[in-house]
Amino acid sequence: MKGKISLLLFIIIAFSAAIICISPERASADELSESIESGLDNLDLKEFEDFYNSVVKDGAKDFTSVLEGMLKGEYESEYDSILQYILNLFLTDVYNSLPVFLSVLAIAVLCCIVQNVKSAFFADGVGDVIFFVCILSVVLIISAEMVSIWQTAQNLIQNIAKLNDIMSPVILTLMIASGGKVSAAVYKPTVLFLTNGIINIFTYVIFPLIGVMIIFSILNCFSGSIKLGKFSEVITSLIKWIIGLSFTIYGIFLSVQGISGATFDGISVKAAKYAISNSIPLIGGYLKDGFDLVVAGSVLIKNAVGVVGVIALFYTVLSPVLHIAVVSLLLKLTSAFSEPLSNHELANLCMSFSKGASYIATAVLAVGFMLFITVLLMIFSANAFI
Amino acid sequence: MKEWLLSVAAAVITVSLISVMLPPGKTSKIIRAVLGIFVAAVIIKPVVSIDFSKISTGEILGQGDIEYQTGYFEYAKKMRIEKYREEALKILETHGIKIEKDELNIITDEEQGGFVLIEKITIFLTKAVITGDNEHIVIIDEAAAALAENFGIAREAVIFYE
Repeated sequence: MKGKISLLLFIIIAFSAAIICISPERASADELSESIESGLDNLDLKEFEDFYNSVVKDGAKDFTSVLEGMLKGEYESEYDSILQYILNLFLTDVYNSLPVFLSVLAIAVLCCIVQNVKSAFFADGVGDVIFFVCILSVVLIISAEMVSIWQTAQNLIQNIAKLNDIMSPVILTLMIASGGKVSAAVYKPTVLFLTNGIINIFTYVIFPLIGVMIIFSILNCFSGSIKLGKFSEVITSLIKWIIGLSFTIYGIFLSVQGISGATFDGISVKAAKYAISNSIPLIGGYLKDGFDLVVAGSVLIKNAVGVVGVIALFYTVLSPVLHIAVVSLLLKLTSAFSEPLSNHELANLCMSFSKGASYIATAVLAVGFMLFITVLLMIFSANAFI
Repeated sequence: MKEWLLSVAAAVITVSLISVMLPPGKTSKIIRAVLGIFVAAVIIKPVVSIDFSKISTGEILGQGDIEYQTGYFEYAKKMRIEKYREEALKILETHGIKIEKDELNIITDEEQGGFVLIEKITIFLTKAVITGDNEHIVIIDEAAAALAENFGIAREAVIFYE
């Protein structure tokens, strides 16, 4: 009898202990969800949402679905559909750009015929003038495409700046709210430098230099007597140096400052939590959990917003860069096919245009990558506080 | 910049056309050399006339500021004060003092990011129910000491009003 009563008591105590152990975790998870929901209600994400929905591909999940999926840990990336989207974009660009380059090849064939029959049918200078006119018409045809690429690249740079302007205040706010005051103070001038300094350098220095390089390359192909190839090489070298220096200085500054700021914040927050939780044995633990809920909610929202920002950056950059890459590839192919047909100057002309398009793509990818690194560091550096 | 590029392009095209139309001979070589010098002069002219003192790095690097979302900081501050209030009420209850929520005020000094430093806690005992074997003044004193220790403030910063 006594044994049965003892066993019953033991079962009751064990069952009660199990409930007590489980319930706080469930209560904490519910409290964290509530903290995240009320945090989102108090955060202005309208501008970000509008930007995201405007750049994302048709049929993809909208901003709210992606953000909620991230916060619940239920987000599934759509690799298959994204690859299909990229392939469709590539083929559409090739199909739309092909007529331009086929007409250039047609002119190359014409040039070939003129070169071979000029001694039989034309006077000495007439053949050269006809060839000159052919080169000019190729320049006019491809220039229209290059101007379109130029404007696309300029718009892309401005869109990247706009994304940075929209996303950074949100992430920095959440970083401060989660205890990363020093990290936010470090990243604020970096973000401003990206938005203003780097974008201005690329818009007002790099892009004009690329334009000058392309024009000098074109002019180099016009005449056998006037050569501007070395001028073009000087400008190419200048572009490479400026892009490389901008990238290197920005990357080093960001990495060093970001890591040191995060370390300071992490230690100071952990010290505060240790002091609070160890001063009172009964209440300290609860206080620590209470403190962590606001911080944890802020960190989770910050990381989710950061990842959504990276997805937005991907979609912003994808279509224009793919278009530029397609045009560059078609120019290289045109150069390759026209070389055996015509005078090598036409092939060199197409290759110069292709090089210019590649530099434009490099410039926009450099700016996009800088923003990507900045967002990733902001996500990862302020996670040490929970 | 645009004008410079147009002038270079015009010069090169014009010189190329002239080169094509030149009759062969010794004079054509001299003319081609002069035309080459002319093109080089057109290219170099604006570069040497740049006034580097007028180039401002401030204008290139730009200025600006980032506006934080103060609404979120207000929300974080409110959440933290609410948590502190709940903890204070629990401490009072464990010491036998039961009061309404709005009878407890937490006065804070705000830091950036919604973080708060507690300066003072005021408790109104108008509708309070105090239970326990000890005298009320002893219970209140013990509760005040517990609150001060928990929130890391001076005992004098916890004020009870009758």
